[in-house]
Amino acid sequence: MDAISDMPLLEVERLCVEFDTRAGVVHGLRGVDLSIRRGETLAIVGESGSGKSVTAQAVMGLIDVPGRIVSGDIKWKGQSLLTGDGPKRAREIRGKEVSLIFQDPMTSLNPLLTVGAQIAEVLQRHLGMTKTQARTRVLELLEAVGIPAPPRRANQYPHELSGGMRQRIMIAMAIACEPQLLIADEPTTALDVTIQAQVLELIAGLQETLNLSVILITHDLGVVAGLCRRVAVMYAGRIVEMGLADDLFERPSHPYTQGLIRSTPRLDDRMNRLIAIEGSPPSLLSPPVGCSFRARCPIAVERCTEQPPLAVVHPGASAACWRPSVPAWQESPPLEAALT
Amino acid sequence: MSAALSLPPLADREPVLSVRSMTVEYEASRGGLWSKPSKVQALRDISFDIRPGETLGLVGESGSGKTTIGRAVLRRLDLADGRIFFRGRDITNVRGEELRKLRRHMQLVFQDPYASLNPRMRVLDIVAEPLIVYGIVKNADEARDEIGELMRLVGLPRDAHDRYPHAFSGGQRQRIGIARALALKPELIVADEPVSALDVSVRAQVVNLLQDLQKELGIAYLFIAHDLSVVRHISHRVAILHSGRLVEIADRDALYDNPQHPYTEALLSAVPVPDPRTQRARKRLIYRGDIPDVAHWPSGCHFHARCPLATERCSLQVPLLINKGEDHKVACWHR
Amino acid sequence: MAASTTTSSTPSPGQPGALRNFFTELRYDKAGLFGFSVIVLLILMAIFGPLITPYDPAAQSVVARLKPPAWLPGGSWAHIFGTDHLGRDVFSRVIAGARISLIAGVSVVLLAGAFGVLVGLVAGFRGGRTDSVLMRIVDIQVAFPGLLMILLIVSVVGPGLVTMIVVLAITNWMIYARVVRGIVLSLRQTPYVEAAEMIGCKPGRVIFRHILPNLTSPLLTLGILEFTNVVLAEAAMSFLGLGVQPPATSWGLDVANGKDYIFVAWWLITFPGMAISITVLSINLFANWMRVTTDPQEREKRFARAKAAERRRGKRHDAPAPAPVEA
Repeated sequence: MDAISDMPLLEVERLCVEFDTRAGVVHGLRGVDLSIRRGETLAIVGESGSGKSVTAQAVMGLIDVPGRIVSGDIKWKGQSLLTGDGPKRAREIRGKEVSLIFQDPMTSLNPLLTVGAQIAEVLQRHLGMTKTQARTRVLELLEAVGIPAPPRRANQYPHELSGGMRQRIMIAMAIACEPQLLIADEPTTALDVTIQAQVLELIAGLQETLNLSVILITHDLGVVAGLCRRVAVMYAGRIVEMGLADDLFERPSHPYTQGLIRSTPRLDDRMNRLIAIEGSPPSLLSPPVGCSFRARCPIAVERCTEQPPLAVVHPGASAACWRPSVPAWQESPPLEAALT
Repeated sequence: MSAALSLPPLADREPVLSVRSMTVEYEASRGGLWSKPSKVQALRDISFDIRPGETLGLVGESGSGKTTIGRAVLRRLDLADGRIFFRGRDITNVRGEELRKLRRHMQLVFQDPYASLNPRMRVLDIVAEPLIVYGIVKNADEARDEIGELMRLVGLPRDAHDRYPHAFSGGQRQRIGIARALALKPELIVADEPVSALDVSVRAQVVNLLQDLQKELGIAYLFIAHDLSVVRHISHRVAILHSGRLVEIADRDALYDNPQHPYTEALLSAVPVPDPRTQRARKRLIYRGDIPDVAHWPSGCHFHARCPLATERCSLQVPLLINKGEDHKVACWHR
Repeated sequence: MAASTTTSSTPSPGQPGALRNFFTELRYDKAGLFGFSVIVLLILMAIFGPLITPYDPAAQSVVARLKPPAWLPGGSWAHIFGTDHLGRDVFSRVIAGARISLIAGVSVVLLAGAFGVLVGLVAGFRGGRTDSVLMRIVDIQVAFPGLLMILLIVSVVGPGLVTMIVVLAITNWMIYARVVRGIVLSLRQTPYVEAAEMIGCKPGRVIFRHILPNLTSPLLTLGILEFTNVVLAEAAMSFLGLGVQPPATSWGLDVANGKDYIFVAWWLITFPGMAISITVLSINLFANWMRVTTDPQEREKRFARAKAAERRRGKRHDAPAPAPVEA
């Protein structure tokens, strides 16, 4: 942990992203603030449509028609990537200093090239290596991501490899240029559980040895718990809670986080029933005024029609809630106590 | 509907479904006009029972054949060997019109709540279709009241009738799928990963709904899943499938508290716990290597390449699924 | 998001907003609108042809032979497009030709389509050996030269409109069978078709309620595109003397008749030729519009592109591009 420097590597400021659809404008991101420092691990947790993947796409410059960045800024080492000659710098940075791994490795690998050739291409293009240099480096990388018999595997095509192997190849490609930031968008969702554990362990190991910053995007709180130091919870295009992982799991402040933790099935509890959050997330075509979680929240009060800011609740934790840290899901929430 | 409540205790009930030594083969390459297709064994020697009102959780990773078991039980696939009994009757070779009639009693809930509903049909038509097909009602409008009752049962708003599936969220669509499966009052529902496509907070809603329905209607479930987390909350018994073979089958608590097969241990340890401190403290069993591929299964125990206990015997002889405790069957030479 | 618009893409006849929807969608695509207008015009010409034509298209007049179009020296407004070597009014013949083209096109598409769809459905749904046998027949028919087949049949039966329609249907059904079989095969794998079988639908119901509705939009597009092929084939056959026989008219026949006068009276082949080209072009534009419109995803993209272009234009008129909000 001491490898974390104070200088933020990436800052996302009040980012708003909208999508044009025939049904109307979908407000995908509604003012997201994030920052990550060197060597830090941040998890962005949220359900489908919460905006977690849109955030990653925005950072990687992958927002394209029908989407557009409406306002806000993305800064890399203090300099904007959206204004001035930012977009040009952004193209140089992406893929080299910041890299991305996706949920489904099959769609991001070229089925007609051997995996070795694909990694080598990255090395030749971004680092200007010669063919032979690249070849040696490819084998090193395959070794580093735990692929057995690298010389043989390098000559295979993506379809000859299992899902877990393919994800390892993607990771090898992602770390080929020794990036400072790795964004992993649901890297294990498409994998089997026993393979998931392998890949998570690999990412954790690489993070430590390469002093990488990692942004892990996931819907699964369980995945977060083992890997990340800080967690941001997203709901309906906004961050509703942000804090240190240990803290957040132990005493979640936002009712949504509380509900999410409670509804995640656990092996270590013997309850016969899972606890659900009733209702479903709001439509982002016309997001509700005020707190988006209001309609599903058991402790909502009148004030919740006003949007609560993301404010510090206790050291190392902030939440966008007017009644943070009130236990939301007990039989009878103490309504009066929290209002004073 | 209250009939289910007067059932004898679980253990004394006659099984609604019994599978004995089921083997299923696939055509690996579809033969041309003249050539014979080559075959691959997807399932081998599978046996289990499900009693009325009971949930059997069936857990396996991709390629283990869990979906194939579900489809074979429902007679969507033919068996290469073995027998299937439904309510005491041998249905292994039932075909045609007789099979169609049998389907009234066994239904399927799908994994994908988006693809499993016809986008061009109203919800009313979707849920009423089983009733129309079996001639119970003439058209959807005649079934309005009955469907209304089903909607209430699965927790859908009454005005859902005349809307199309796209107007609903994933969780609500899964409810529509469940209502359709319930329309014929089946005795057995095969639920093929019914919640894995849903968000965590909604997942719990659907799992709880399935449990409530079981209590109310006495349905038996074959609940298929790819990991052990949700299964714990819904199952009475759990079966672990690895590469086409059952490796362990036991009462839920026995399996979770005292797993016997090394693969079960690996699966249990792989499920992440949403608590950083517990998670760090846990002993993680990460077994190297990949899941074997259907077309190239190893000899002996299919898990031996990844197993920490494996000896020479494991790579030569297939361990049989035998009772190691009270109704706790394990297929391992070392446990 | 994209899914929320699927129903409007398949307007059922009873739906009140269906027609308005149709025109709203057409507004987004100028080329599609053009195609649609021309098609409407053609249909009107085909139906009311005899009422509009200034002359009987078959009426000959030795005095008024090879008159140039009205705007050329020697031309007169009595014959806007001029007259041919037998003194027949070219304008009237172009209008009258539309009828044959449309009749031939529609009947061939319907005939070939019905047969092809049937074969495709059976092959895709039954699968196995039935599928293999049917598809081999399709392959053989595709491999057999179409023109040879046409010559063979026409020489036995003799040329004529009906013969031509039947012959074109025989040489054109295969594409429907292939397309339908492909779609049916992939639809059979979809969970909702499996669900229909699971709840006990008989094969007939599965096909007609769950599979066929999904075929309408690709088949409609295919049918329209095939229509252009038929119009061209009709022209070619009539040109070769295997199709429509005088005194009936057809664009192809007129081009054939005019070919000897190409240097003396260019208008004889130009106007019927242009009629063929414009018809085919319009149908293609309309079919393209329809392909996009019946696919919710494509429709969503078209909308987003139009919107993005609108925004860009809007920005240029405004003051300099708005800078991102400072934190």
